[in-house]
Amino acid sequence: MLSKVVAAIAATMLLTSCYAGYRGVNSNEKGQLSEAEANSFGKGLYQNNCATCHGPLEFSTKRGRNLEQINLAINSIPKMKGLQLLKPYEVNAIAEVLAPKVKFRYTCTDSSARGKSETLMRRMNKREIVNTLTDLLSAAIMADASIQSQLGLMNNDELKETVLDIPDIFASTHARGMFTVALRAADLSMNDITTRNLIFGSCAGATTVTDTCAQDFIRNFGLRAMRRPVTAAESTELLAFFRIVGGQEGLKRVMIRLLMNPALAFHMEFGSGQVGERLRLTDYEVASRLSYRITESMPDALLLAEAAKPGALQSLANLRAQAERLLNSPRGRARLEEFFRFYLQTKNIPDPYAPAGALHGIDTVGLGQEFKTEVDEYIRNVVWTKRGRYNDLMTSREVFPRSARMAKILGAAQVTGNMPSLTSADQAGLILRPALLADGAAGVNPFHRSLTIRRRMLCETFGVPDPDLVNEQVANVGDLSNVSARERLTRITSPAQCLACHNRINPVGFVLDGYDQLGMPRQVETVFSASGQPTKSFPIDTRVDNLQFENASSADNAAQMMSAITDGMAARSCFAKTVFEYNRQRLQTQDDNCALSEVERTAEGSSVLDIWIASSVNEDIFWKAGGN
Amino acid sequence: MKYDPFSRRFFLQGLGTTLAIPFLPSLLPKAYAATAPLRYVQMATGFGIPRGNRFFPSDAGMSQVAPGVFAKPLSNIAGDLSYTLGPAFTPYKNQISLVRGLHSFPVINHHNNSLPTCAAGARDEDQGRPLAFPYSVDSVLSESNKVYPNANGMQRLVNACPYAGGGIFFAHQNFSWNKKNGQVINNPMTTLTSDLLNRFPQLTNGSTPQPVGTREKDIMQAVYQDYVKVRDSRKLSSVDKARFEGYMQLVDELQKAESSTQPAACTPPTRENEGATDFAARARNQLRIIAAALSCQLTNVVNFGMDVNYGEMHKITHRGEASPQFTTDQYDQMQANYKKSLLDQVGFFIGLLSQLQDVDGKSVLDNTLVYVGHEYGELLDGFSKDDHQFRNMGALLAGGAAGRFQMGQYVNYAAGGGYPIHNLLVSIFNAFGLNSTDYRRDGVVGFGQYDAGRINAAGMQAKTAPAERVKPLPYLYKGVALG
Repeated sequence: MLSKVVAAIAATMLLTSCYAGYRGVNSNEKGQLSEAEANSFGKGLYQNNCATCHGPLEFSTKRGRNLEQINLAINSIPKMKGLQLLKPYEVNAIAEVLAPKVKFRYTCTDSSARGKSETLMRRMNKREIVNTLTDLLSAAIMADASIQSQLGLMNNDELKETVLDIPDIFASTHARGMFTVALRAADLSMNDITTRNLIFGSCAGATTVTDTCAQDFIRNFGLRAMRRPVTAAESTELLAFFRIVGGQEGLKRVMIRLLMNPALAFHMEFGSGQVGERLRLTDYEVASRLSYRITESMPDALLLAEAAKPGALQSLANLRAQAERLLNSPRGRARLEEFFRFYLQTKNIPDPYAPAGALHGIDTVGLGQEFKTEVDEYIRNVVWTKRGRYNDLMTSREVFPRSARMAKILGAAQVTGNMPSLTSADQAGLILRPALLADGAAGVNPFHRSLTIRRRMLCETFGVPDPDLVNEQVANVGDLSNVSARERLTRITSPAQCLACHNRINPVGFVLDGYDQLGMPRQVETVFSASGQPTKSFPIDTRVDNLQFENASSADNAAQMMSAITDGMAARSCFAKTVFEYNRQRLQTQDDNCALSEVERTAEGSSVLDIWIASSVNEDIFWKAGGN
Repeated sequence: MKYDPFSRRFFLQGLGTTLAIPFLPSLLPKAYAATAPLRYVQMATGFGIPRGNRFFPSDAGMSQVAPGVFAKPLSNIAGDLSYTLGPAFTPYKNQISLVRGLHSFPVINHHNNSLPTCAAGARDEDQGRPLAFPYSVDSVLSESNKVYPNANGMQRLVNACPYAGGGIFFAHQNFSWNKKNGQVINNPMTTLTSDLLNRFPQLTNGSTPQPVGTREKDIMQAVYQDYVKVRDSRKLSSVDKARFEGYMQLVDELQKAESSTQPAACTPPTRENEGATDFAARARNQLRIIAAALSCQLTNVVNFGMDVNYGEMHKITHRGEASPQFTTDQYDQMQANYKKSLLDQVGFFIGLLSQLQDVDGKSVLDNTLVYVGHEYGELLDGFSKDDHQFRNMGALLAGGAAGRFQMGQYVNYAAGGGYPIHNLLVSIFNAFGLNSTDYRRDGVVGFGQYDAGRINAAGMQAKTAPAERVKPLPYLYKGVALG
């Protein structure tokens, strides 16, 4: 404790010293500070004066702002008036740390910290449990109605918006559910001869089940259930447990006990030994990590065989080869597809507002599902068939309309086989697809559309507005029924307090206002009555000149905005971060920077599959935090 | 080896001798020669049905199976039936049917939780007028000697509603009504699990929790020790240890539960711990008791009322009354979430019944009709008192009453203009052997309230003519029409 206090005092003295040195000179005398010191000074100023509104420097929404722009903002934005107290050299220091000196957001500065973020023994989520049980037992057993019913009652552990959606602790029904499943599974496994031979061995069908038979089962099933070899002590104990009743019943009891083992509830990692502040994982633990990251299930036979070879899984090259193999399995594919549904929030897509469809002669019933199917197919095509890059995902004009109405919406030929058709640049890429633009309401919501891009594609964060202020402002602006959606949002968000965020949110929404509830390009905004009749219309204006992207400030239309997104680094960095966090089911920390910098660099030019593998397999896979 | 007359080994030796005896029909287990009783379980939830395909599956792929009746096998639907009818129902696609397009004709459509079971017998609570047709299906069946040829020792009507609370409407939320001595009665119900269990002394007699020595207890004790070893291995960090102990507590509870009761038919079913407000756990426990009671022939008629959080859901259902306001999609999703949370219990119950073997060798589910109804029909968009929808009511049937109902189907009557929900209730009576004389109440032809104004507005005059009122539903009902 004392050492921490001393360190804190020392750091304060150092900062004060730097600050004093900097303060006493004009900008021409900056050379008195080293580059690192100046950088530290600027970062401190940014943190104290800017981070609250614009996010941490690493993800600052004002990255790239120059001195002139910052001074203009300080003098014109009421909320920033307090910053007029800053001295010119201090503002300059902030501008310098905001300057785009490095292209990448993540830099590896301390490789000895790799893996230290893995601090918790994560619990198995439901998908992992179901997959693991299926691999252990068979799909046929898991299809049993009683087992399915029990699993149906367990918490779904669904990631909705963030990786924190799965609670740390188990639901109260979990242990009971697992036990009931195990009891049932043991009976089913023994009753069916094929399954019995597969799981227990043919010796289990003999009149007398021998100790040897039980030992073989304990060794083989135990290895798979615990994802590591059964120790001699465990084997002895399990054999004694078998002997209590013996026979098939004894085997079933051992099986149930193994299915209820802590390894089926938690990802157990005890490591092979402590190295500094970290634990080096065993080969079996590495195999388990890799398998769950790629397939959300236990290691398969090949991977377990690799783990049994001393040192085989200490090679990153071998691990990458295993990852590639697992990624091509049905489970690997399913996991990546599920990731995209999370990333894009396309699990539940509403049917578009019916009267909006009627304007095009399109029945919208069931269209939401078609949108979902189309985007899934598109992702499979770019990611798997073409092994495309992130930018390919964002720009490809390939589409998969499987019905006449989808063809009409996408402005492309209907397809029947595996080959896509082509749409226009206005509807190219992921973001401009109906799946992301569909709206079930009478009017499209530029605010929500923008947040999808800002939050999910660019990893920007926004606070929650003061509800009283919102209500007050809505009352102040009065009747807005005779103005366009763009004008409505502009007026409602006009107070300075709102613009702190809405300056960034609104422009993206306005650009996307060029699409109707079906995701079809439009020139006119149609207003509907309560009964769904078109009552009035407003011309659409998608031009914005305050886009506030890292590399663009204006756009005439969505296609231009998408170019800016794909040309910049922010979206790819965000994608790398999202993949990384999804992969590990936790938020990133400073100790992840080495791994993240590798993923980020992979995202710049390599395929999506390579990004996924880079996130799963890197030096961090061998380590976890040690000690208490 | 020490001699133990009750050991498993000794039992197996005896079993081997038994199996060596030549097969003789007279040696079949006596129970298999018996006829299993038909059971009726009524389960109903508050509020209407979520809109669109959040509840019913898509109509795509349906074909006409009778004039104005469309259907398709539920097994043709890939994955879950719908969001609301989620994984809890997926394994039972062949044991359930979904029915859409049933209408009701109440004078008043206020909340009284009577529309699906009394066929439109709502009362005007604002003006204090009594329920117009205060007889629910379960009440009528429970009084019939055709359902209870010998009711000795049996509970004629078991009425449970585990969801305590819910304000002024709580008393009406069990969907079970009757009239005795001129007085309308909301059939009394039990709310607490212990009260429900006490209704079945046969389950509790001799049910001194039997020390078991069974596999469940033995296994759970060993499993718990496995956890103890990991916890005490000192390999866990302090944070992980706390998380680990959290799960250990669940394992420990399970171990203790298995050590104190014996799950077997006609003994108290193993129950899970239920807190004062854990209505889901309480519901599951009560459903376990009900399943055991049905299996042990302690009752043939059950009503199970399901509703929670009336106040909040009421605001949400009426949309405009909720604060803060949500989008249409959010409202729909909240309604679907609510419905799903209740209907998951139905799926759980179907699973229980399907696992119980009846005296004729079939499952108890096969010999039961589970009727799941809803207070109102499919919801409309926007704020309106018409959210008290009595058109397009829906039903889920399970079990099929020993083949008397078409199972495994999604049946939609809406395309043909719909059918009165009254005819579904008539179908149920017919399935249990009751004809129109048996179920007639207060001189009404048919069953329920047939308000002329509503009927005319719906254009349902032909289907509510007196001769039509006593007919079972076409296609769905496969039994004998009793007139």
